[in-house]
Amino acid sequence: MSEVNLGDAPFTMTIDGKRVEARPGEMVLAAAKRAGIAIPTLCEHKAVESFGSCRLCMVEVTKAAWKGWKGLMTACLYPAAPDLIIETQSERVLHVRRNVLDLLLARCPDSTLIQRLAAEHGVQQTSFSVREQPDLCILCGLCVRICESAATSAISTVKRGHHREIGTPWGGPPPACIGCLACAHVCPTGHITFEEHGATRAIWGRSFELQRCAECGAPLPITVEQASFLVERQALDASYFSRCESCQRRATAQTFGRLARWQKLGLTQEPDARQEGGKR
Amino acid sequence: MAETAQARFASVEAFLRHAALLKTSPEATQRRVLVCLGTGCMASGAREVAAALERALAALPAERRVALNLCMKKTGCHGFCEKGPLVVLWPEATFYKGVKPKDVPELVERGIVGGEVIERLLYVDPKTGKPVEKYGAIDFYARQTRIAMRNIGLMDPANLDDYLLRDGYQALAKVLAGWSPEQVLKEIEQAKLRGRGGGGFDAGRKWRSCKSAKGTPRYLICNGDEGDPGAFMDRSLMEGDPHGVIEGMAIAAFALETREGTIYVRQEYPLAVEHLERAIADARARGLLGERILGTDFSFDIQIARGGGAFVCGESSALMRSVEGKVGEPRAKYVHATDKGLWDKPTVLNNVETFVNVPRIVEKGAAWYASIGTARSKGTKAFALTGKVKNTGLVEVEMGTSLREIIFGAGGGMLVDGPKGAFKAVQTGGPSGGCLPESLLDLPVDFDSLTDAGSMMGSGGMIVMDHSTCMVDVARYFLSFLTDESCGKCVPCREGLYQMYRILSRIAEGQGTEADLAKIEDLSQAVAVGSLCALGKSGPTPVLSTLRYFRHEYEAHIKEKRCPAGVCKALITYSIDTSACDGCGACLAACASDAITGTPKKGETFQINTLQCDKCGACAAVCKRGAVAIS
Amino acid sequence: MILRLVVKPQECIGCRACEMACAFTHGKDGQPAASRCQTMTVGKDEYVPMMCLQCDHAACVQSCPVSAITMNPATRTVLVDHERCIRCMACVVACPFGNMHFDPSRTLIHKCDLCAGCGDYPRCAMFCPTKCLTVERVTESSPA
Ligand SMILES: Cc1cc2nc3c(=O)[nH]c(=O)nc-3n(C[C@H](O)[C@H](O)[C@H](O)COP(=O)(O)O)c2cc1C
Ligand code: SF4
Ligand code: FES
Repeated sequence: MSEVNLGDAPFTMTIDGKRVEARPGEMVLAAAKRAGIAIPTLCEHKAVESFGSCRLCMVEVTKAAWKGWKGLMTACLYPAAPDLIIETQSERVLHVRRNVLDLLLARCPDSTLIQRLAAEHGVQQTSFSVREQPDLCILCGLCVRICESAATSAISTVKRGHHREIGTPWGGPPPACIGCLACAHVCPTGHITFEEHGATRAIWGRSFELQRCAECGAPLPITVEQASFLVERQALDASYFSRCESCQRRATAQTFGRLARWQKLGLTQEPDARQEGGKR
Repeated sequence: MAETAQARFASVEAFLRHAALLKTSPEATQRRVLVCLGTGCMASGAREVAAALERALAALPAERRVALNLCMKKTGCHGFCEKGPLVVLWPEATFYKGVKPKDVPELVERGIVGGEVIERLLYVDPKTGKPVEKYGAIDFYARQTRIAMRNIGLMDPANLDDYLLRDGYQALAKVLAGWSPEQVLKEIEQAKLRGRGGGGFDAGRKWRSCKSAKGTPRYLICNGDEGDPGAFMDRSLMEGDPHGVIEGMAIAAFALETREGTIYVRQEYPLAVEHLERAIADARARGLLGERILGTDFSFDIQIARGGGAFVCGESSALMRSVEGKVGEPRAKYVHATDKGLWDKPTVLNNVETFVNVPRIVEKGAAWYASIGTARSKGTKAFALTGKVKNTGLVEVEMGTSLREIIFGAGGGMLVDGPKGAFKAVQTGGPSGGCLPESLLDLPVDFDSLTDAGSMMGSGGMIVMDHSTCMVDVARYFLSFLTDESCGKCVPCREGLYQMYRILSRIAEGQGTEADLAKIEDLSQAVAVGSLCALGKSGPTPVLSTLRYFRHEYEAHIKEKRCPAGVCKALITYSIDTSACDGCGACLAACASDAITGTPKKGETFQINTLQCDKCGACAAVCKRGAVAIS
Repeated sequence: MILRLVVKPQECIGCRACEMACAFTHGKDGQPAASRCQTMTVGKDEYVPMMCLQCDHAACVQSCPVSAITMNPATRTVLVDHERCIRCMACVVACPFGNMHFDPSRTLIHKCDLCAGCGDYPRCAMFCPTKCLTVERVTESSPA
């Protein structure tokens, strides 16, 4: 959640020679993006707090008052400020970026995302030793962070340094997992996989029953555990997660159809309980 | 002491009265038998020595004891652990080393009661070969300037009155007697005290920015994580002078107007925790901590947090996460801890040694402190001197003292004679520090000079290396440590240090190419600027510094496939010099790989089968005639 | 300026022009999955075009665990921030009218945004051949 708008007046700063408007509390990355200046990122997602672990978004930052001193900063975490002068393509920036991508390519040679980003930075092949038995995990930590902030902290990073990995408690299927798939969806490389057959969903070595429509019995796109989790966490009634999209739509259409019929007959419209908030 | 003296001091005056009284009490003039019970001496049996001494002293006839006016004190670490267990007689300052329980009767009879000097227990100066009687005359101590460590070894850390006898809590009383917090801040700023935990950040400035940050409460943390392998000055301070740490923190808390302090102690330091806990409890009981300290409006208390067990937990942001009960991992933020630290509140984090300097500054004045050291690094620094030097241990010297003075003065010079034993390099700054060559021996040591030379001060590790050390191997060793200790959060450190380690391994195995050198230099730059925390940022230092000063060694490994120091296994062969061998057969028995053939007999000699040889070096270690050659 | 889409199902002839307009506005080649409205047949010659009601206390907004759905206070339109969305499908299930959609080909949650950013004028209404879909302009003070 890198945008914390403090409500103060916007100001300007310079990115790649361009005057760019920024808002107090936002990060350089957000301001650049709005101005159409692309900065590559891997560990950033709007649904979670910036983490600063991939180091891909590094930019060179200075100010006139800094007497020529320039710092390499991660754009995802560096707060925008009036009169910053930012370079997103300087030689120092590209040097770090190239090395990061080269290192990640040695780690995940099969990731098409990394391949593409590396190629965009002139790295066709890694110049380092490729990891034995590589997988697609770049350890951006997005899955762990989304699980922590939007679900149940079922997964975490385990071990240190080069042995770090995404893990579950005791290496087994995570007991706290609710099968919401948020981790799989935020994973930028597709490392986290899941399967869905009929009314079951399998992820992290666990199998989940999907919630069923109270009317037609069709499986809903959320699991039973997820439904109860959402009821609790979002403080909603259980009925919010009990019927499928088409049953809901059909019921609504029927109501509106009935109203329309009355209107055609010149009757006055009866208020309908389900039309909370009203039609505009 | 009289019972009333143990009560809470109701006011600064009451405290000062007590302290003055203490100085004229019989306790102040007692002869002391100081037994070191630091972790190092304990490992070599100091506990048994202390017990034996206690018994022997208690067995003396009562009137003798009174006439001798004796007391025994279990002290903190003298810093000379290698020579332990240590016993010092005070005030005559007779220094006995390597004392065993069986030496105790003689020590008491002749040494203490008889007033004689027991020569065989004295320290022998390796240069002159002569025994040295006095503590202060031993080079190891004579070359030191002890400010931070001034109390350690000379008092009982578990005894608050002992600390008071050494002017303890005088600085706090002085501050509470009428200084304003602003005055304390100014004093520390003027003393130009810099943090001793590694970065050398200006402590006064840090306190000032915390004070002017928005948000309350403010927090104060003492970093006693001390993760650098081999470093133990913070442990010694916490064990040997816990009240010094507490007093320093209390003064800082007064300046910062905060009431909560935490000491974060490394997991492996149970004795430090024990002593700190005791000291905190005592200080609380006497009104030197807790509510309304010395009857004033100032309240401050300290809790202890146990370390998370990883090296990186000593890093400021990781430490604060760990105190919060989260995973001890560095957090990337361009907001200083002084603005948003512990629980996102303004926080000051300082090292143990930094805090211990604070009461000294208040007591003797900023001007005095600023007169010690160099232009930009004031005061002293404690180093943990190890490696191939004669005297290893804790050495506190004035900033600006040359490397030569430390290594060849206090350190007593190189350990091993001969060309192999000659000085080659000194590694400073802990695992992510750098190696400096002989040409820099006269470098005055301070924060900036070490950084400029491509190394760093770090927390004060200092490892002396001779010509039996291979610099490629050294760089590889530190990289392997750092690869394991990196938290693995950010890419440059996790992947970059690992790849650097891989390249160094290749070079050490004779598989390196010249392109590897360019590659590792290029990667080093990227890791140094790209990493998230200082571990990764300084991680390449061992490589960069050895490349800067010992590039020829890398080249020998790459171009000539030769390890000049004879360390890198893949590049050396063992053989037996038949002219030196006398056929004793020691090597035959030592070899675990059955690589040596021959019959033990006078006049016979042995052969090493190089294919079978495991290059473990066992034969060379046992050969008394030096007949095992490494090439 | 607040736009309000007014639907009069009694005028609907079931031509599905609105669906086409929506699919072409929001999708690349007008795949039906990209459409955010759907015309339902409820009886003989009776149709109801279903589109988001932009509820004040929307179930989708309340159910989203990452606050990716918000109401733009200026236009009173409920919008999904796709960069924030984690595709957990809570909103799809929670909408009591079945007006939240999931496009599996692009793994995107979508809903009617009154063409915010694509002309800022509802295309469905533009292409509706009858008076079934019309747009009302409301000034800030008028009641919902
Ligand atoms: C990997 C790493 C480990 C550290 N370990 C310690 C430590 O064990 N003790 C310490 O005082 N500082 C350590 N530091 C430095 C701290 O981050 C911090 O700068 C210091 O405690 C601040 O205190 P000072 O200003 O008094 O030096 C470490 C830093 C890093 C990057
Ligand atoms: S530099 Fe190393 S230790 Fe520091 S955050 Fe990055 S991976 Fe962790
Ligand atoms: S996006 Fe900024 S460090 Fe990864």
